[in-house]
Formats: sequence, C-alpha cells, structure tokens
Amino acid sequence: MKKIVSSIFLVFVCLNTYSQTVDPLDKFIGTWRWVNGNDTMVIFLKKETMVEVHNIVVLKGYNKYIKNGVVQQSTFPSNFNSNNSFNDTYFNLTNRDDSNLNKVSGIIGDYQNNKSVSLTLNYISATAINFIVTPMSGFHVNGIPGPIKLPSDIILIKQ
Amino acid sequence: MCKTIIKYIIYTNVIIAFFICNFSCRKLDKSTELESINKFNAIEAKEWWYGVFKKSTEYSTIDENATNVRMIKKMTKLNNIQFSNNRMPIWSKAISYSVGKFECVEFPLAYGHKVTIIDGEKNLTTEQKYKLVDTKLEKVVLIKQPNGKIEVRIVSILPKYAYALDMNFDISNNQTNYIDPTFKGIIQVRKWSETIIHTKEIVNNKVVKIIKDKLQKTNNKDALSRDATDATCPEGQNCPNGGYWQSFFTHVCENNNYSSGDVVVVVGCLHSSLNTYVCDYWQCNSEGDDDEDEDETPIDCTTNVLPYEECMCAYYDLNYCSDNGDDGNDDDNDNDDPCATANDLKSDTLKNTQAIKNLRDSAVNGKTETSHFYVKDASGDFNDVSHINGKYDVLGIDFPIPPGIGFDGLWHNHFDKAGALNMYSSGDMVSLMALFTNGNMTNSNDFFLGLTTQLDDSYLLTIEDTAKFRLYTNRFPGLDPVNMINNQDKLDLAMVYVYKIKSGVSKDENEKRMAQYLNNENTGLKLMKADLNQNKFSKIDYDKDLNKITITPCN
Repeated sequence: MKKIVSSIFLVFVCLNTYSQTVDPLDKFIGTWRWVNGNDTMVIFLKKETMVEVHNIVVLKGYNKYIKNGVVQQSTFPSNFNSNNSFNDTYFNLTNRDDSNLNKVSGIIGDYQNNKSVSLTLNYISATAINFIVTPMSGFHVNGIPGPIKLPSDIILIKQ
Repeated sequence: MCKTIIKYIIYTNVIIAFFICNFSCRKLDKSTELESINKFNAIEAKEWWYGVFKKSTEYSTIDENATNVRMIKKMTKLNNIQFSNNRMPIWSKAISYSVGKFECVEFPLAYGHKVTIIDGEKNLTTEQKYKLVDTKLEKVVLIKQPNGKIEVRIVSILPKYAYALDMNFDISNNQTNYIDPTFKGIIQVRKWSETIIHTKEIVNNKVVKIIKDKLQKTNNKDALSRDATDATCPEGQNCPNGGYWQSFFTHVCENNNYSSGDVVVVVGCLHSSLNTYVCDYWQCNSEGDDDEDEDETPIDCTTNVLPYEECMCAYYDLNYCSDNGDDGNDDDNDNDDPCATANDLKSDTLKNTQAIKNLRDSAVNGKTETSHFYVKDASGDFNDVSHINGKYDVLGIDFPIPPGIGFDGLWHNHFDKAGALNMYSSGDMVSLMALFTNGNMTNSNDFFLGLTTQLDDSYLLTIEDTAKFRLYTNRFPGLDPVNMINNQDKLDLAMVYVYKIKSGVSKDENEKRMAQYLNNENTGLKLMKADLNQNKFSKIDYDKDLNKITITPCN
C-alpha cells in the first residue's frame, strides 16, 4: 500500500513538474509548410525574448508566400540562419488566451496591401497547425483597401 | 436584403468631402461623384494656378524668416544682385496621382534663385557638391482635397552623394508619390511661402533624422551663425542655446532672365568649373501668354555662381519637427488641459449631429468602420470636412497618410463583430503616431482621436504632453509600410499581451487597462470618455498606487 501511494505521489510530482516546465509555445517551434498546387506558405518559428516589449517570450517568425509559383511576399533574410538571433523578424506570436494553450496569435504583415492583419495559429498535432488570418479593428496606416492577400484557414505541416 | 445591398453600395463607394457644411448629405454625395469623374489633372491645375492662386495673397506672401529666403537674401546681398522670388511650375512635365481621396498633380519647379544647403558630406570636393546641386529635384505639388480646396506644397529632393553617384546623377525616378527604396538623402516639404513644414533624412525608406529648422532663428549672428571662412567652424561643439556647430555648404543658382519675370525656366544646371556656370533651360512664353501652349526651346546661358560656406548651429533629432511648420508639434505648449479640446469639441460636434449620428449608428447597428476628419476654422470651431469608410463587414479602415495635409482631429468607430475591440486598437495608436510624425496634425496640442464603439461609448485621445508623446513616438520610428507593420506588431504585443487590452473584455476593464497603458508607458496621451450625446466629457486617469481609475468630469 505504501509503495502504491509513493508511486502515485511520484507520478503526480512528475506530471506537475512537467506541466511547469513545458512552455505551450514550444510545440510551435520549427518550420511549417502548406502546399496547394503552385501555392505555398512557409513559416519558421523560434522562441526568443523581446527585450523591447517588457522582456516577454514570444515566437518570432519569418514567412514566405508563393502563389502560382510566384513569390508574393517573403520576410526571410537572404542570409537566413535559424541559429542567429531574430532581431528583425516580421511577426511575433504569443499565447494570448489563457484558456487555450493550443493557440498563439499576433500580427502579421499583409505586405501586398501594406497593412497588418491578425494571425492565429491553432495547434492540431505535433505535425500540423491551422493558420488563420483576419482583419483588425482600427486604422491601417498606408493600408490598401481590398481583401487580405494571404491565404487563411490552411493547414501547415511540420517539416 | 435590399437595405443591406444599398448600405453596402453607399459605404464602400462614397467618401464625402465638405467644408463648414451648409450642404445636405445628399448634395455632398453627388458632388463627390462628380469629382471622381473629373479627376484633378494638369490642365485643371494650371487653370486654378492662373485663375485663382496667382491672384491670392498666399501666392505673393513670402516668409522672410524661412531658411531658403534668408539664405538667398543674404547671398544676393553679398553678391550685389537683386533678390528674386520668381518660381514657376514647368507645366509640360506633370505627374498626376491620388492618395486616397486626395488628388495630386506634381510639376518640376523652376526658381529665379534656388538655394541648396548641403548638410554634412564633409569629404566632398566643391565640384562634387556642385554635382549634388545639379542632381537635386525641386517639385511643386498641387493637392486637391476631397472638399475641393487646393493646397500648394514645394518638395525638395536632395540626394546624398553616394546615392547620386549610383544613379549617375539622375534621380528623376523619385517623385512625390514614389521614393526609390534605395534613396538616401533629404526630403523637405515647404509651403509656397517657403516656410518649412518638415525636413527629413531618408535612408532606404526609413526616416533616420528629422532636422529641426531653427537656422532661421539665428538673430544673433555672432552667437549662432558665422561664416566658415571667417573662423574655423567648431564642428560638433555645443551651441550656446542647444544644438551643435556644423558647417553647411550653401549654393544659390541664379538665372538672370528668369529673375526678371516668368520668362525663362531653369530645369537643370551643369557646372564646368568653380567660376563658370552653365545652365540648361527652356525658353517659355511670358506671363501674358499664360493660356497659350509654351514653346519650350533649350538654350544655354551663363549665370552667377554663389557658393557659400557657413557655420551654423544644427538641431537634429529623430522625429523632431519644425516649430514653424504646420505640424504644430511645439514642446512649448506642453501640459495642455485635455478638457479644453473636449470642451471645444462638444459644442461643435453638436453642429454635426448628422455625421456623429451616422457614425454611432454605423458602430452599433452597422457593419462598416468610418472615420470623420475635422479641421478647425478661423473661429476655432471644429468642422467635419470629409469622411472615409472601410469595407462592409470588414474590421478596419485603410488610411493613407496625406502628404502635407493638416487635420485637427479624427473620429472613427469600431462596429460589432467577432474580434472587434471596444477600445483603441494598436492600429489606431500607430496611426496617431504617424500623423504626428508626418506633420498631419495642424496643432498637436488640440488634436483629438475620437472613437465610438459598438457599445455606443465614445472616447477621445488627446496629447496632454507633447514632449512625452514625442519620446513615446520615437520608440516606433519609420513611416514606410513595412516599419508601420512592425511597429504595430510591437505595440500590439504590449497592449494586448502585456496590458490585456483585447476583445472579449468588458468596457470597464478595457478602459482601466488603456488608462494604465497610457500612464505606465509615459505616452503623454490622455484618455477621455464622452456621454452618449458626446456632450460631456470626463478625463480617465490611472492611479498606479491604488490600481484603479479616477474619472474627472470636464467643467
């Protein structure tokens, strides 16, 4: 009986420790790709601290969107190296909904329309995430009227 | 369904402009349609120039304190020649474009006396500096506002030598509506009177320096300005009243023929040596033949060369704007009472009941974000001069930054939709900073950014402390689209993730969080809340110690 209680206690401690150390952002780290015919969306996410915004830990990322075989926008630097510090990344995602740790969101540039749009990534499994972009309230300085040029509600596969 | 379609058509196609409205909304709609058919073009611009502008006081008014005027006068006096203020657009080389509902026509601008001040570039030879003078572009832009009013702005585009060299001394690919992404140099915007609105150094689409134009304030020549030839310029050392000493190369190009009247137009200059100066210019008809087509024939001429080195106090800062320009971002008027703006607004807003009613109705029952633009008239009343609509059932308003246009306020709405905010968004905040930095606030101390939410609550943001707001704005530099998006990204993280100002949160909580953000981040902004009639405003302050807000009604 004593052994059983000890085992249960040990499992509880382990689980508790695990839940404290595993960051919900971690499962989004890496390269993700969506391909549909000649259309491709690639994003690369890495966890870093944003010193300029209260030292919060975010997923910093680059993205590249190809439509009909033509690059529509790419924020990957020419000398991209995943090991370098991402000082000039073009979107930063965080978990903004405490009740759903499988969701990260933030802003991404719809550069073809010169404006910011809201980006949400929903974790589906270790190999798949859902990529959704939506318009945002308020002014879009220099924004070009028209529908968002980035694809939305697509499934990206872990590379 | 039918109603929805009609709403859609109205909201997505009509941007109404009117000035001190005596017109009905129906009339405005029609006039806007007519304007959209008759796009402002070079012909209309020229007709307005000679029919209206040349007869106006504005045309003949010159700012004696403007740096360019002061420098030309100084050097014409030194060289014992008569000062000329003759300037004329080169009508045959027009470029037309639109920025939102602002229609612009750009012409090269010819000067009787053209001044060029080269800042820095210390390693250049005098010949190389002359090449820069040749390469510089002078433009005049006629900007037709949605209400039909036309503003005149002069734009100088002076490249850095390295960029000019890369471009083989031809930077004509740069226009007022398009700056080459690799451009490096100075862009200055002035009124027709030559009063400087702003002077910015641009590097690869980023504003890296804004030059505070205090050169014209050098009343005490011995203390603040002296000839470099008279004494070695103490480069980099502090000036008595701020700034630091720097040597400027100043050059005035004179065309004797053009100086005597609108006869000859200089379009470019070539220098063969320090003392011999050759201009290419085009012979034009005299002013009396304005309505006839010009017979432009290139001929050669020799004019005077007036190079000059001067040691002056320079005032530089990022996002540091002119005290004398239109931006009104004057630190001297800090700590304004936000209630003064709110009190001015409340009575005037009632005059525009229909506009505000429409905006509120659109927020609560509609599906379109709308923004109204306000301009103060001579009596100090805020007037609703135009409005712009977002797309039907799409959050957000796409908002171009108008070049050289000043406003006194914007009032917009957030309508009810999933993800919509009942508080100011990061996009609103970035826009406020962009209008400030770009000189679109006629007077930053009186400027307001209004918001009516889907819950029919109305808020105002006003600049309570300009110096603080400038420092806050400096944290988000750059007005190009990429920088604006990146800045909004950082701002959004702070507002949404750190301060939790987000959709799905009660209005009371978001009010508190917004006030907390404005206070803790030293924004210099004040949040105010209006009653349902927009007739009574209260200041919302955040008490850090008690972690709560205090609401103080304006008297």
